[in-house]
Amino acid sequence: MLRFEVLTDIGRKRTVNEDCAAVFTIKDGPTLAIIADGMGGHRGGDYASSTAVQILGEKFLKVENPKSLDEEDWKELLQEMILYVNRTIFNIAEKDENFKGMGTTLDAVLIYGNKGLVTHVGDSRVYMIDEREILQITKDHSFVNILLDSGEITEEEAAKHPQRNWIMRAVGSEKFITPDFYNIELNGQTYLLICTDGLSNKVDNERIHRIVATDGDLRDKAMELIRLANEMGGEDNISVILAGPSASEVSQQ
Amino acid sequence: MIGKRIGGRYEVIRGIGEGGMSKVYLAHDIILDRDVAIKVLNYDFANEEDLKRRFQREALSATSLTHPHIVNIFDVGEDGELHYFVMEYIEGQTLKKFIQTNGPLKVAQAVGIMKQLVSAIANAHHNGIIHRDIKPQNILMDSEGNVKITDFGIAMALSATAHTKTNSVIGTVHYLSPEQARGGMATKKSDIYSLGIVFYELLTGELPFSAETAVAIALKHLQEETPSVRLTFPDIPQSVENVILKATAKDATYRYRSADEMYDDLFSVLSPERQHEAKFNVPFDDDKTRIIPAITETSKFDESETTKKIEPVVPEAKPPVKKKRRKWPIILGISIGLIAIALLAIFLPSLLGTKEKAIPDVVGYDEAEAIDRLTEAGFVVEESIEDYSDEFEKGQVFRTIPEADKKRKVGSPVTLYVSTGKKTTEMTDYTGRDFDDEFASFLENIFKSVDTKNVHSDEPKGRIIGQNPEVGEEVVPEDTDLLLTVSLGKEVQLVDDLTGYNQNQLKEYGKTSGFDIRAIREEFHDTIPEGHVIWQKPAAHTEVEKGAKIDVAISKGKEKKSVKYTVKRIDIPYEPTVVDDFEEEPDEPEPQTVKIYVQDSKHSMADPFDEFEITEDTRTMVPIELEEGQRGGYRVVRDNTVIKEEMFDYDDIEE
Repeated sequence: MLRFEVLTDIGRKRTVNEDCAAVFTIKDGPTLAIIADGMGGHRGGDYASSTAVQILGEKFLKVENPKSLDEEDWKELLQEMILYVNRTIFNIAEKDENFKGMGTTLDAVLIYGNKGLVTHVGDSRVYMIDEREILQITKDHSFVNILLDSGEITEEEAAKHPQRNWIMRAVGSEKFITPDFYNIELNGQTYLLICTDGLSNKVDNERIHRIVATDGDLRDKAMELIRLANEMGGEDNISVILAGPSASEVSQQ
Repeated sequence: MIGKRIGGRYEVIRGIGEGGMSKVYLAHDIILDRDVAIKVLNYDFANEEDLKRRFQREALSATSLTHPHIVNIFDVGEDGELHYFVMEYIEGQTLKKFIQTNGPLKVAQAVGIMKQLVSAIANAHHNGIIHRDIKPQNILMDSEGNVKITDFGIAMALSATAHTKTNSVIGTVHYLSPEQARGGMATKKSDIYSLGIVFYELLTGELPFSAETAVAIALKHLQEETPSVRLTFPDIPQSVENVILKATAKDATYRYRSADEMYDDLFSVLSPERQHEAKFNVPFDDDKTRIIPAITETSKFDESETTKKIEPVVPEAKPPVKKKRRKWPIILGISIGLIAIALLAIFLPSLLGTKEKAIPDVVGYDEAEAIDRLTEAGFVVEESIEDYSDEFEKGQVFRTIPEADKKRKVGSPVTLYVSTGKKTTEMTDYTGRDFDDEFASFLENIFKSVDTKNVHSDEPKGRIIGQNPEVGEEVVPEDTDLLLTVSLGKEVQLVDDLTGYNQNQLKEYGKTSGFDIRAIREEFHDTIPEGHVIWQKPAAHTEVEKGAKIDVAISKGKEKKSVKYTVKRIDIPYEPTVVDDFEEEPDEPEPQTVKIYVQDSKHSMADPFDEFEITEDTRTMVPIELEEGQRGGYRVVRDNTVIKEEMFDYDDIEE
């Protein structure tokens, strides 16, 4: 059984926490872990991320016969739900001046049995971590990441790029979006980390790996990640969902 | 906002514009009693001290600029949470709007606007200010057609914020130089690049690079050559197109060295002498960056050479003419030669008064004949350079240096340019791109004809998967028929209705259809027997890619739920109706018809479960079988009258 720790922190510089994170579980059924990093507008970022998480959570809990659904069914359902969330937020942003230009990243991981289905829009990230390695599952939908992929710029140039905060896909910022999907498999020793860029921009993969993969309490690890991001400046909100075997289970193995 | 007073002196009258991060209002300055434009930033600087300071610094430095084609900034300030700057109010529209309503401009008009813009940018550059975000949206045009640039340094300063931004609020990248797209520092040459893009838009009414997302546009700025404006508007002189090509060279080294140089070029671009200018080309040699200065040097020495005498003697014999393919190191060699000659000329001032003669026009002649004619006229053909020419056939002279009719002293050297025919280019790799109408018309502008062959493949529909001529082949595009192989996507076929198929039938269908059929689930089914297909995905009669996976669910037969049985004992009395009192004693009793209806997991009340006749009181046993949750019962009808009825639930049945 996986345990989940959900933490979100305003950071050191912002006055509003525009991140939102939550985990929903259907009794004896699958679990959906969601993280969203909102942006834009006066109070729009906050509104976009919390609305996205709420709607997605509700829709998930209302799914009929969740146990009879297979991977493809879930993929279809999640896609529909995200498009619905997108439309909802987009329409509000169009109509209400206060919410103009808002949007949110959205990463949701559905976990059923030892399998996971990751859906991803934006530049929040999903990692799989075990003793050996840390693996970034999602690809940032950012301006610089696409330039990087095309070979036009180097990692170094990307890290300093003035437009590194531009994201090319966000829920609610356009009429239609296409979420990415990834299938993952979890064994008893894998950790799953879902986080906003408040963490990934501040703490490098190596340090994340060290913190998550060592023995210890799951909650302590999640708190350590947030503490570290704050120590490195904490310019942005920081949110973390860490899923993994509980400490006692690990030590038994 | 309307009606408010900002900074104690600016009364807001109405909104006049809106950008990604700001709004512009018309306001009245009550102290100086004049209309001004106020730009209010739609941005929360809370906790972004660095950004705020940077923004204010940029805005303040822009206040130092005074130029007829730069919007004057009067004041920069903050009022509570509002950050604003106050500018000269210009009644008119943005250049973007102007282009949108007026479409492609006449060349002269476009050049006129460009001269104003470039002079403004040159002025800013002299003051050490780089605009960083030149675009028609930042250029205002008054009713007389004068343009003024605004927003120096500001937009890009703001984009440096740490706040994540989505597509809807990020600025346009249509005018962004390749170095800026890469994230490098914007330089004066970045402004020159943006000016080149603006010029393109003025002349065509369109943007040179467009795509769906900002990053796709940025990639085009990095990877694709600036399209030729003459492809769509052949009337635009080459000299004008050259301004765009030179300003928008990917490598900043090849652009104008300064806005001043660009201005000078624009100044003469429509003069008749430049009518037949050759197309601007960035050399492709590996060592391009080092060789480049030599090109400009050459032309300089052409000039200086005009006043100097070179050779006193007219040689009788035709000198052997070196032939060389045009390579930049050679040009460098020539220029070094010319330097030497020039130096010679400086130190050996001409004492002999050789007479001057006009260089004969040999353009269009074969090389040998041209040499004869020049030699006859008393000139020395020093060098013959081979190069491409679109106009002249192979072997013909297409240019001389000095030009025909220039007066030169007898014995001066003349360089010939001999055509190697039309310029061939290496075939670009078009495979992997999507072939759509836009791309088709793009290619049609380049090639003589474009044809496609459509085939099924694993590549997505519309993707180019093959081409003829092949990549790397040397071709003259306008004489070449291009044949592209375009993918139709995977071959699709209709899926049969597999409902009811058994394992063997599935196997057989899989073999004949090529589909990958997988039984992914087993389910109970009331009517479809065990081992047969209940449903399939994709559905029957839909089009599916050849070889695709088809999931089917196989029946486990009827679900065996927990079932309770009960047997009802029913007593049916025989009660014949008396028909006739007067009749004699009946010999035989009149039979009565009994119908028994049952509702349970196997039966419904619609049809009788049993039917018989009785002539005496009769007892019958009716078995009733109910599945968990079901309700059932029985009804006894004797001669069309219900005489007994009982309904009960599964739970009512005792084990």
